[in-house]
Amino acid sequence: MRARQHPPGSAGFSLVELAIVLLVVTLMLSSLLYTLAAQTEQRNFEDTRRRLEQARELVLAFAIVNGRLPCPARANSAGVEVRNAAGECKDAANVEDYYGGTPGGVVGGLLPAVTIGFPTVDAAGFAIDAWQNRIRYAVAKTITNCSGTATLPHFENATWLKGNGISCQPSDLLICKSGTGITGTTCGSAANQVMSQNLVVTIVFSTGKNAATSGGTGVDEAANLNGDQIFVFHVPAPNGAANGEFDDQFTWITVGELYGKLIAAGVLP
Amino acid sequence: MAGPKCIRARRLQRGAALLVLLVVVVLGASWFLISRTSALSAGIFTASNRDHNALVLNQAKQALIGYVAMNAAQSGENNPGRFPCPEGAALVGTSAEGISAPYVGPPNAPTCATVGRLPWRTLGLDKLVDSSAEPLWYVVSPGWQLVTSTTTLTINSNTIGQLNVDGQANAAVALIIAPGAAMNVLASAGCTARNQARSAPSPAIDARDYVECFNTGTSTFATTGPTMSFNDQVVRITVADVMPAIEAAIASRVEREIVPLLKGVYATNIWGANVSAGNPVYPFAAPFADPSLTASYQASSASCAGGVCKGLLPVMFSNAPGTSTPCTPSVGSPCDPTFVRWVSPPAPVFTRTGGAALGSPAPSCSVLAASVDCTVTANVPLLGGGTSMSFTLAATANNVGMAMRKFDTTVAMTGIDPAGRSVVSAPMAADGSARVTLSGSIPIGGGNLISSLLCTLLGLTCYQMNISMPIALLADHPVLNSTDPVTGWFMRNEWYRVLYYAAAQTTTPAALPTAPACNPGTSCVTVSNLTPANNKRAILILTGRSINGTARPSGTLADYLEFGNAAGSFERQPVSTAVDATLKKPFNDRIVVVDFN
Repeated sequence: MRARQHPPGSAGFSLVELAIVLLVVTLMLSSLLYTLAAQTEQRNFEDTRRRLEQARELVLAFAIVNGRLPCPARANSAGVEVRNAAGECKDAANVEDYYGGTPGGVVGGLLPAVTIGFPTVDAAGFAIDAWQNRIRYAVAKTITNCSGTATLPHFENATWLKGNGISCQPSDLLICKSGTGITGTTCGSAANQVMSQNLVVTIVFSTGKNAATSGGTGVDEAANLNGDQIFVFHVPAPNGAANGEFDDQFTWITVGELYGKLIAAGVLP
Repeated sequence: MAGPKCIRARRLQRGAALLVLLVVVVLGASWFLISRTSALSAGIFTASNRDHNALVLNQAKQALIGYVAMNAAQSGENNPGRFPCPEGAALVGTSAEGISAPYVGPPNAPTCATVGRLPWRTLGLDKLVDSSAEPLWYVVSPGWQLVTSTTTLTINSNTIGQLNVDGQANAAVALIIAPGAAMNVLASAGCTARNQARSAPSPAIDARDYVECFNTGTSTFATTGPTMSFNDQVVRITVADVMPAIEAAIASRVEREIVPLLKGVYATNIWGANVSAGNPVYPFAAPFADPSLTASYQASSASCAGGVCKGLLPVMFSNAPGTSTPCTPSVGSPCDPTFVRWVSPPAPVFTRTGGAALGSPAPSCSVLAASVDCTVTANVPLLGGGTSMSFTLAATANNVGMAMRKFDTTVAMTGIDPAGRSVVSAPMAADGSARVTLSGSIPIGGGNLISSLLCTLLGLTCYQMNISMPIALLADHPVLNSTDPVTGWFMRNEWYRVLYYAAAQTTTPAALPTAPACNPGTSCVTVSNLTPANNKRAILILTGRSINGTARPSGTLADYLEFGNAAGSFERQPVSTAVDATLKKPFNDRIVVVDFN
C-alpha cells in the first residue's frame, strides 16, 4: 500500500491548534455575550428612565391643557384615570386611590396612559417600562399653607386649583431615603427625607426589572406598593442589601414646577 | 540570452508588493475610519452631554421659578419674589445637604452666599447632576435674596437683576450652572487661573473649583469662554422669566390682603350718612403721571372723566410708617405730611357740651399748619363745681378723599383728656374734604388760673385753657403702613408704583352726600372679558413689567398698560409675551376687582 501523499504546503491543523482556536473563540464570544447582556440591562434602565421622563412631561402637559393633574388609573380602568365628577380620585363605589395599593381589590396607582396620551402601552392600555411592567403613578390629595380657601380636591380639580391659589402646598406625598423607620405618614425622621416636606405633587415610578419576581418583597420596595403616601427611593441595591433588593426608578414633579408651568401657560392664578 | 532569465524572474514574483500595498491601503483606511468615528463619537458625546445638562438645568429653572412664585403667594411672606439662598456650604456631604442657607440646626450654616450649590432639597428636586456627575451650582443676584433674617428687599415689576453676564450689565436675576469636570483653568480675559481640585470637604467647598470665570465682587459671570478656561454650561433666569410668576402671586395677594383694606377705608357712616360697609367711598385717583415722582400720588377730582376716576392709587402718606410722627419727604417717596391738612374756611367751631361753664372771652380757634388750636376760658365755682369741660371741636380737613386715612384719637393732643376722645362725625364733601368733629373733655386744672376781679366778685375760679387738635388725628390708613407684618410688603416693595386704579365716579366722594354706588351698564366701571363686565365699583390693574421695550420710570401710560387699558376701555386678556397685535399680545396687565355690584 502506498501512503497517501499530502501536497506540499497543505499539512492542515493539529488538534492542539484547533483546541486553542476554539478556546479563544469561546472566550471572545462569552465576553461579548456578557457585555451584550450588561448593555441590554443598561439600555433597559436608560429606556425606562426615558419613559418616566416622558410620562412626567406628559403629566405636566396634561395639567397645562386641563388646569389640573390626572388621577391614577387602576388595573380595571384600561389606562384611563379613575375620577368622579367632583374631581376626586374615586370610583363609582366611592373607593379612592391617590397613592396606589389595591383599592377595591384591584391594583391602583397606575399611570393613566390613555388619559395623558402616553404612547408605549401594553394590550390593556397601561404604560409600561422596558421590562413590560406597568408604570406607577401617585398624586397629592391633601394641601396645606393655603392663604385663601383650601377646598379639596385641589390638584385634581381645575376650579379649586385656581380658586385656592398658588399658595397651597401638597401635604401628603413624601419620598424617603430608606424604608427603615417610616410610618404611614412620615419618613420617621427629617434626615430620612429626600426633600423638604410639602413639595411633591406627583410621583411617577417604575418597579424595575425585579417587579415580576421579587419586586415589592424588600422593605424599601414594599413601601412603594403599600398604598400609603410614603415612598422610598435610593440608588439600586443588590439582593443581599439590608432592606432587600431595590431597583425602582423614580421621577417626580415638585409643586414649584407645576405652578411655574401653569403660570407660564396662563392657567394660573 | 536574457529571454529565459526574464521568464524565471517573473515566475519568482509572488505579488508581495501588491500585498504590501494592500496592507498599507487597509491600514490607512482603518486609521481614517477610526479617527473619523472617534471624532464623530466625540461630537455625539459632547452633544449628548450638553443635552443632558440642558435637561437638568431647565428642570431646575422651572422648579426654582415655581418655588419663588409659590412662596411669593404665601401670606406672611414679607419679601415676595425673593429667591432662596444657595445650599449652605457647611451642609455639603451631610444628611442635610441640598437645603438652602441660612439653615438653622447642626451643622449650622448661617451665611447666604452669592454662589453656591443649588438647594435641590429645598426646591423638592432630586439631586440633579450634570453629565460629569457634579451637582448643579446656583448664583443669585444682589437684591433678590435675604442675606440675613433682618434684611428686607424691594422687589416689584421694575426691579432688575443685577448679575452681569457675558459683559452685559443687569442681565439676570439668577444663574444655574452645570459645572462640568474639574479642569486646569488657564488665565484669560475675565478668567482667573486655577487648577481645580474637588476634594475639598464642607465647609471649605470653594466655588472657584467648580465654576469658572466669575467675580462675585462685581457680580460678573459668564456663560461662555475660551475652551482652556471654561467648561460650564449655564442657564440664566432673567426678570422676564421670573416676573410673570411673581406678578401672578402678587395679584393674588393684592386680592386677598390689600383689597379688603381698600374696601374698609371709608366704609362707616362716620364719613357720611349714606356711607356704609355695603356702600363704601373710594378715594379719588391720582391722575397718571411718572410713578417715580412724589407729586404723582396727589389724587384729585381731575382724575375723573367719563364717569370713571382713574390713575395711580392715592397712597400719599403723612406719618413715618407705623408711627404718628410726620414722615420725612424724600425724592420719589409718596410722603407729604401736609397733603391732608386742616383748612379754613370753613372756620373751626368749638362747642361746650357739658361740665364747667364757658367764661369770657368766648372760645377762639385758629388753624395752623399741623393743628387746630383753640383758647377756651372756663369758670368754676369756688365751692364745688366741675373739674372738666366736655366739648366738641369741628374743623375741616382737606384732601381726605384724595388719600386713605383713619382716625387715631390716641395721638398727643394738648389740653385734651386722653380718655373719652372720639370722632363723632366726619362727613366728607364732594370735594374730598371732611368736616371732622372731635368730642372730648378738657381737664380744668390743667389750665392757667386767671386773676380777674370779676371772677373774684362772682365767687368763681377762672381758667384759660389751650387745646390743640393735630392733623395726626387723621392718621394714615393701615394699608399704607410699610412696617405691618402682614401687609407691609405692599408699600415697602413699592408695588403701588406699578398699580393702576379706577373707581366709578359715583363711588368716590364726588357722589356725596348721596349713597356712593353705581349702576351696572351706566355708572359702574366696565371691564371686558370679566363676566359680568359692567358692574365694577373699583378695580386695580397690576401693570406688570415693561413689555414694550421702554425703560421705567416713564410718564406715558401706554408704557405701563396695554391695548384697551391704556385707552380707558378696560379689558382682561390672557397674559402673554407673544407679539401679535391683532390678538392683543403682548399683554401683562392683571385686573384685580376691588368691589362690584
